[in-house]
Amino acid sequence: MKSAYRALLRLAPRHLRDAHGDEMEELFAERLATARHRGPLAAAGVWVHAAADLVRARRTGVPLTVPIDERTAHMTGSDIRYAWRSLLRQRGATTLVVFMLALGIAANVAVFTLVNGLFLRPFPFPNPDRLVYINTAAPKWNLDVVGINYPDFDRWTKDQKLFDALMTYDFSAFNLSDGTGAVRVRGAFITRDFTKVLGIEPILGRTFTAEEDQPKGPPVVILSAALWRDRFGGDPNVVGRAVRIDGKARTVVGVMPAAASFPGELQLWMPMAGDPAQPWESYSGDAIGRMKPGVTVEQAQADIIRAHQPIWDARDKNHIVTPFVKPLHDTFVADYRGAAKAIGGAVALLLLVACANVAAVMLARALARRREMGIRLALGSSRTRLVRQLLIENVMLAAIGSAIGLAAGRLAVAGLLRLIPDQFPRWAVFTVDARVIGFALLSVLVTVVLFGWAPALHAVGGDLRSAVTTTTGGTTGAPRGRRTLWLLVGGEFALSAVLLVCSLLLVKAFDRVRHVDPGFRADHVLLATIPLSEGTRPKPEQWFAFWNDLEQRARQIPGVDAAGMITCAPLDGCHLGNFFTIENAIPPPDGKNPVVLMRMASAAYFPAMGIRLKEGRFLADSDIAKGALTNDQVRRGTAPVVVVVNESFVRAFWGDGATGAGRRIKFNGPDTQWIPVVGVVADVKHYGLERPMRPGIYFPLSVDPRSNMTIALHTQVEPASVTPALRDLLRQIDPEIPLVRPRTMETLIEQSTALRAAFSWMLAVFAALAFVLAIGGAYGVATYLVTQRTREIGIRVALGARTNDIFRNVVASGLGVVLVGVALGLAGSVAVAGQMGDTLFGVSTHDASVLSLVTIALLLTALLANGLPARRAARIDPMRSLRTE
Amino acid sequence: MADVSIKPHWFYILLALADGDRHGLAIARDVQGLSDGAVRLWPATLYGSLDDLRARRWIEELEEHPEDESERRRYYRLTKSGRAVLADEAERLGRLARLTRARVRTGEAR
Repeated sequence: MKSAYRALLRLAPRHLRDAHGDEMEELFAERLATARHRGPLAAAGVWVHAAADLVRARRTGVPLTVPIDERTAHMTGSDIRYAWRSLLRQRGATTLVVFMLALGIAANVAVFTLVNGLFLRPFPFPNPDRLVYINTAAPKWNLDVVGINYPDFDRWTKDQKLFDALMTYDFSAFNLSDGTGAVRVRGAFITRDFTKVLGIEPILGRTFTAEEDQPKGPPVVILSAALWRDRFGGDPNVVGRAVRIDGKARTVVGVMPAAASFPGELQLWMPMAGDPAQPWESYSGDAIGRMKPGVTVEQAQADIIRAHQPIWDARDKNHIVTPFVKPLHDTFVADYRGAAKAIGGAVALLLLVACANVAAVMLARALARRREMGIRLALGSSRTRLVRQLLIENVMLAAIGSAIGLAAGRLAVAGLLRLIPDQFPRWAVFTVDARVIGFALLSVLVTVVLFGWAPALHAVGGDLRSAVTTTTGGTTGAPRGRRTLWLLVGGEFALSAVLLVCSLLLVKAFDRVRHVDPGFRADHVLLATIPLSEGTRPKPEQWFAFWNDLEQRARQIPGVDAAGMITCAPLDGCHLGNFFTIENAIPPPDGKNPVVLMRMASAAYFPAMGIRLKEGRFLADSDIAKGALTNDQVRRGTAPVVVVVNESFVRAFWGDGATGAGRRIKFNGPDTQWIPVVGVVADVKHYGLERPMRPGIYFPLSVDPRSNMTIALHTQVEPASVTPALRDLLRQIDPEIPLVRPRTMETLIEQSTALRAAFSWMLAVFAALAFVLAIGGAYGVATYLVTQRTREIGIRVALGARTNDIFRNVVASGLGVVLVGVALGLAGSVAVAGQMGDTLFGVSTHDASVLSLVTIALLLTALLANGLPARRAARIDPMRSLRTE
Repeated sequence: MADVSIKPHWFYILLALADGDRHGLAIARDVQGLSDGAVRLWPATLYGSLDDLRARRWIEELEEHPEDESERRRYYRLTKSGRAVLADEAERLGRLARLTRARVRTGEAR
């Protein structure tokens, strides 16, 4: 207890502490002992009183020897003026400090604005914390997210007890025509309660009724505000109007506000009209629920699982899924979490480096002002006042720096969003709000504390006599100050090393990702999706005929040398999974039957995409039947087909190094027939360059044709230049069919890695900034110290020291601390990189080339930063330096 | 002289020392007794005041310690001017007390 008070005594003015410390302690102990008899509250009271007493003494307990004007409590106004003058006097240093602070704060504000928009801002719906995401998983099939089966959803809706409402939705795209031509619009099939779940109201008309949301319900549609404005001229009488969607007439019943466009950008909504009597028809779509007030996510999940139990009990065990419930917000930001953490950490390190740098500059300034401070102390100025003055200077610097930083940070965010607009979710809003301002203020506070302590401590902490007797620029006084300076520089180099190593590892990982073999040829390939209206072409035979015709005619386009059709193009985000029975399959290592990516392709698709053949042969034109085959014909073997599989398929089912061609597979279920595998092709990185590939299978185009396919063109010319010809061709065939998202394979690959690219570049920029700051810091400190030693060096030279010795001496004193800093930084960076896991994409955390590159770069620049001042020192003319007094 | 009034705790410290030489701890105890427990001097206030009073030469520190007492403690004695200040303050307070009594009485008579 006594020692605690002793520590507290530091609050009191020094003269009091020195003269009476022991007795003060004694008195305190007596008070505490008496109070203890009256209980802990009284004892606590003694502590509070004692602390307040010490603080008060700081303000009033100034001995009478101090001039009257210094004793008044209200000096802040004059302090601010004084601080301002002092900052103006050293314009160079002030500019430098403000610039470094602005840099650190700008980077932090920019990153925080992103983090705020993604993670902290609530969704634009009432009580967003009560919204949860619901979907099903199938551990048995190794699937984390299966999709919602409508009959299951219907059962949950009826039996749940803890939700206000549930909705399920399934994104789709539609051809909207209004007489003048067709446009492709994004929309969703949605259940009637969606307004209730999200807590929104239509701005015009109404939402769907129960009658509309059932099989064969009235054909209706709700428009988004944007679509209503752009396509319907904001017509106030739009409700009741008929529009044609996918060739079918539908009546507009309402218009939704912009907030309803969730989670993607949606332009219209149609009733899901699901049929609960049609079990396991399909698993697709997602669900969102609004929990009743006070319900936790765990309770909500238990509720859904309970409602799901009868389905579980009744259903064929091949179709078993387990529902799960997650906070809605988490679901949509999961992709960004890792990146945000890493960038947040990096940017905090950058701020630390900036603060260390500012602390070094300020400390050098303070040391240079030791004599001024000493004289003021001797004249009776109180240490409190001097510290306060320094503090005010610091706060002013930080305020100016952060004001500039805040503005620059805003610009940086705007620039970043322009650079990669597609990589952030639509609902995220990145503007300055109270949280961003609060964060900026907090960083200012932290900054002041971080860079302010060293100068304040050293400026007034030293003993008075030595400060006054120190002659300016003469001797090397204040060894403690010099030690702190070197400590700061060493710290900067350590932190920079961490940042540099991590960012270089990421750049290397990015490079590795970009050089992943995608399994196809990326150059000179154009993709475009073509959706057929099922209203005008209702039958699969019509679709099949259309695709065959389109492929033939696309091949005639000048500049095109191959054209092929595929149901599901790589990197497009689409997936159609299925399960097969495999002849002579090895047992799966984890007992789970892997899901197979199923695609239907034309024979020309493989050459058009440049997919490599590994074994056997590709699908040939002769493998494609003359007419469309139904799923049932293929399953039962009434129409013979052959398939091609990928390497992952062979590996997963038949083992490493096994052959695939000549083996057989079949669909699951009774009465299915074997289908021969005629070839094995290289894995196409369907889910992204960084994602592992699943087993995949290609069926001939004639099998179970789709109304929506993607055409792949291989061109001899710049692929994008073929787009108009393709659009013309489509218009010739049918003007009602839109050409959707024509895109080159190269842009698709670029987009798929854009988030990683942005992430790596941001880190690299931060690391480069930290690096520059560290070099600047080392240079500044070395220069300052050389200036301080001018006289000493002059004497040495006069006494016969050689230029080389002086040079070596100065460089060595600076380089030692950098060496230690870099060594610590490298050790730290290996530990930090260990936390980055998958982000490194297999690059080793102690990658030799990266570590050695960083070491060499830091040491070389440190050598340079110390060498320039050292050279200046070595050239000191002894006569002049001795006369500097 | 209106500004003669001295800080209350200075008054109590002088009052305690008027009875004889004391060290800080004893002064603190005395003051608590003299004020019926109303005035508790906390360490920094007490020793800060002692320094101030010494600077004004109202009290002085004893050169040597009384026998059989701890070496560590510093003893204080009221100086002549300190005694005079205390007397002045007592006079002032006495005047105030008389005035107060007179006013309270006339107030009752109304």
